[in-house]
Amino acid sequence: MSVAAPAALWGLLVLPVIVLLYMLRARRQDLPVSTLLLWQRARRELAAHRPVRRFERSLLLLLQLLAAALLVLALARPQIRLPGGPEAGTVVVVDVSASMQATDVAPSRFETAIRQAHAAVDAAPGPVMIVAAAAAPRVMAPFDDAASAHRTLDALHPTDGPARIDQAVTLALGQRRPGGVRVEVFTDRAGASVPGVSYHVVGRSGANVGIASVAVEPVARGSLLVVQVHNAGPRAERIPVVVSRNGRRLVARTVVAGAGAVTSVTLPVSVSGVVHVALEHADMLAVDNTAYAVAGAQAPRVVLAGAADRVLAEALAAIPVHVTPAQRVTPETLAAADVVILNRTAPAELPPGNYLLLGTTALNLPVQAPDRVRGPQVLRWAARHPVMRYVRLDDITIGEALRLVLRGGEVLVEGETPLLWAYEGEGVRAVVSAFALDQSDLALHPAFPILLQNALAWLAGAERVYPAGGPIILPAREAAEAEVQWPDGSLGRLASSGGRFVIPAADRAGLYVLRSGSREDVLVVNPSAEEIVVAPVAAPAGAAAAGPLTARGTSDVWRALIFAALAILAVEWWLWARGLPRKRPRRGDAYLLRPERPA
Amino acid sequence: MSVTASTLLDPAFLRRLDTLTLRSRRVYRGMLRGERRSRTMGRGVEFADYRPYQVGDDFRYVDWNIYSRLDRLFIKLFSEEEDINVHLFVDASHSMDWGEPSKLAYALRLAAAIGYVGLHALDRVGAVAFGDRVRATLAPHRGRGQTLRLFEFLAGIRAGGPSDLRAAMREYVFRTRRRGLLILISDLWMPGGYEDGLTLAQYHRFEPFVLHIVSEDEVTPPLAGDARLVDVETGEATEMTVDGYALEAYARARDAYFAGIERFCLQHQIDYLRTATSIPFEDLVLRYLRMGGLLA
Repeated sequence: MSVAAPAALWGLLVLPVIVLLYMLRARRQDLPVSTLLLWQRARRELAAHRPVRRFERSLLLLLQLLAAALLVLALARPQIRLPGGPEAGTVVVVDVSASMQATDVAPSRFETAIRQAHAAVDAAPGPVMIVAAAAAPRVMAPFDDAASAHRTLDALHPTDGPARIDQAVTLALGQRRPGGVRVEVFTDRAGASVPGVSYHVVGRSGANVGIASVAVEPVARGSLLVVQVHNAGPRAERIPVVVSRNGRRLVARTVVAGAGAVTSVTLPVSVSGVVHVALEHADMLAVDNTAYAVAGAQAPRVVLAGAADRVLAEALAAIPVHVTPAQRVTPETLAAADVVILNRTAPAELPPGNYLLLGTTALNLPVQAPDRVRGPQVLRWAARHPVMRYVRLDDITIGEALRLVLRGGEVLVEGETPLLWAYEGEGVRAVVSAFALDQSDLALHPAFPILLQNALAWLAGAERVYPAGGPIILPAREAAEAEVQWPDGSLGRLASSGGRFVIPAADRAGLYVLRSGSREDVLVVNPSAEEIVVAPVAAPAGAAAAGPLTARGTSDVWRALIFAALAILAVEWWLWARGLPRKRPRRGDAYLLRPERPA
Repeated sequence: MSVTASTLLDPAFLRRLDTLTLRSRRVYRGMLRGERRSRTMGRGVEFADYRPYQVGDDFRYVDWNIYSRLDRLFIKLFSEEEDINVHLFVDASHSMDWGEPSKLAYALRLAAAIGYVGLHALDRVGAVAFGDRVRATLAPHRGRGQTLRLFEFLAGIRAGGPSDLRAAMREYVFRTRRRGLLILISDLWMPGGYEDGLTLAQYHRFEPFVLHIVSEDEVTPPLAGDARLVDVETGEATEMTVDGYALEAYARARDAYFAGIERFCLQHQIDYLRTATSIPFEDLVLRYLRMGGLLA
C-alpha cells in the first residue's frame, strides 16, 4: 500500500486536538437549580449504570477519532496494489541547467544530483525513464531497465542554459504506465508541489556573480560594450571586468556590484569582430563569468526595389545599413544583398533569401491576398518577437491593407485581419506588411524606425548573439550543407532543412562557426542570465510525494475510507442521539394532582 | 415582578371569590358566631337533634309538641354557625424564588385568594411566612376589613434562606392557641423533609391542607450537557452530565418524590393538591381548589 499525498497525513494532528476538545468539553459550567434534591437522587440511580455510560462516552470519542483518522487517511489518497499488478514506472528528471555546475557541494551540484539519481534508479521498483530538464525538456531514455537508465545518467552533461523544471515534470507526468508513474526530480530549484512528484534539491549557497548581458553600441571610433554584472550573493563585490580579443587584453574596468544588484559598466573597444568579456572573479559557478560580443559588425546590405518611397528611403538612410536601389530583382542583386525590400511590387516567385515585403505578397509564400480591407484597426501585436521588440503600435491609422489569408508563419500585428506577418521556410525568411507606408501614418510614429531596424536585423541574421539552451536557425540560402565548429573546437556537419540551418539547442556557451561555401557565420552563445541566481529553492511543503499516480494495477481506497468514516459518524451520531433528552411532556396540568377528598 | 398589596389580586377576580367559602373537614369551636355550621349545638336556627331535658336547660328549647304526644320533655338542639381559624403557612425559602412566574408570587396570590375567601366568610385568617423558622406572622383576625392588612402582610414577604418545616411548625404551634385549618403553601423542596412538620401540625389539632407548587422547569429541567448544578437555597453543588439518561433518572426521582408526598398525605388524611405555576391562577382557585375540597 502506498499514499499519493503523504502530506495529508499531517492532518492526523487533528486527533490530539479532538481529544483536547473532548477534555475541555468536560469542564462544567455552573448552572443554578432550585433544589438538588431530585438531582442527587437521579445521580444515585445513574451511579449504578456509570460503567456502561462511561464506556458509551469513551466509545463516542473513539468513534470520532476513528472517523477523523479515516478521513485524513482518505485525503492522503492511499492506493493498494492489486495482486499481480504491474510495477509503477519511475521518471527520473535531472536538472541540466547551468546553475547545476555550481561547486558549493562537492564535486558539483550536477554530480551530486547524478549520484542521487543513480540511487533512485536502483530503488525504483519498475522501469525507469530519464528526462533532462533543460531549456526544453528532453526524454533522454524511454522506460527501460535500470542498467539502461544508469548508462543514460552517466552520459548526461550539464548545459549552459536554463532549465524548465515545471515543463519537465509535466512531461514526466504525461507518461503512462500500467502500474502508474512516480516522478523523482533532482534539481537545485524545485517546482510546484504535485502529487506523485518528489523533489531532491541539491545545493547550499547562493553567492555568485555573473555577466547578465553584453550589449554593443556603435560609436564614432569603434564600439561601446555595455556589460551588466549581476551579483546574486549576499555581499557587495569588487569585480574586474576584462575585454579581450584573441587572447589580447583590450580594456579592463572594475565594477562594484552591490548585493543582489545588477550593475552596468561601459567599456570602449576600437576593434571589430568577436570580443571576449570576462569577470576576473572566482566563485562557485564559473560558466557565467565569461561572455562574448560582436563588436563593429558589418552593416547588412539591403536592396530596395519596387515603388519609390521617399519616407522609406530616408528611414533606411538613418539606420546602419547599406542600401542599394534596384529597378528589378535579379539573381545577381540577390547574391549581393542580405535583405531585399519589395515595396508594392507585383507578386512574384521569390528565390531563397531574406525579404521585407511592403503592401505585397509572393507567390511561393503560404499567404494569399484575395482582396483588400479598408481602415483596419490594430488590435494586438506579438511584443516578444524580435521584430516587435520595443515597438508600440497604439494610435496607428491604416487607410487600406491587403486581406492576408495565412497558412503558417507567425502573425506579428493583428487587426481584423493579419497586418504584419513573419515567415521562415524553404530558404526564405520574410516579413510581410499588409500595407505600404503611404497607406498608413506608421512612418509618423516613433515605432517606425525601430520596427524597420528590428525587421532588417532579424531578416539579415544580424542577431548573432544567442542565449544558451535555445535553438539557432540561420537561412541556408542555396547551400545544402554547412560545416559547423562547436565551442569546444570540434567540427561537424549540418544539413539544411527547409532552406535553414538549425541547431536545435545551443547547450554550451561560446562561439559557433558555420561555414558554407565562401560564407562564414560566427555565432555567439552566452550563458543564460537567469542561471546567475544559483540559490537553491527547496521543495514546497508537502511536495515529498513518493507514491505513484493512480493507474491500472492499483486501487484507490479513499472512497471506501470516506464511506467508512461516514458510516462511523452515523453510528456515533446514533449513539449520541440515544443520549439526547426525550420529548418533553406536555406542560402544565399533566403534573396537577386532583386527589379525591378523603371521606 | 414585585408583588404589592394592590397587585396581588384584581377586583374583578375578588368579586368572583365572594361566592366561595372555605370548607373544613373538622368543626372547630369558634369565639364568635360565624357563617359556618358548627357541631356545637346552640343558638343557631338549623335543627340538628333532640335530647332529653336536663335540669337547667333553657325551657325555650323544649319541644312542646313531643311533650304533648309522649308526655316527656325533650330539648331541641340546633347547629350553631361558628367561625374557624385559617392559618396560611407560606413557604418563603430561597427555592420559592424560582420559575417564571416565581413560585413565591404564585403562592402569595394563592394565599391572598384563600385568605380573602375566609375573611369574606367571617373566618379568622392569619398568615405565616416561614423558612427554617417562622419569619413573620399575622395573627388571625376576623372580618372583611382585615383584607387589606392581610394583603399587605403577604406582599411584604420576600424569599430567602433555607427551609425547615419541622422547626417552623414547632415554633408556630407553640406560639398560637388557635387551632384550625392550616394551609401549607410550599414547593416542599425541604432537605429535612416535610413529614415531621405536617405530623406535628396534626398532633396539635391543626387540619393541614398542602398546596404543593412547582415550576415547569422543575418538572422538566431545560438543562443539557456537562454542568455543575448549584442549589440556590443551600449553595450545595453537584456535577452532572445532563443527557437523556440523566433526565430520565430525574423524571423517575421526581415521580417517586411526588408519589411519596401523595402517599404520606393519604395515610395521614391530609388534603393535598399539587400545581405548577404554568396553571392559570384563576383556574386553580375557581376550579381545582373547589374540586380539591378546600373551597365550596
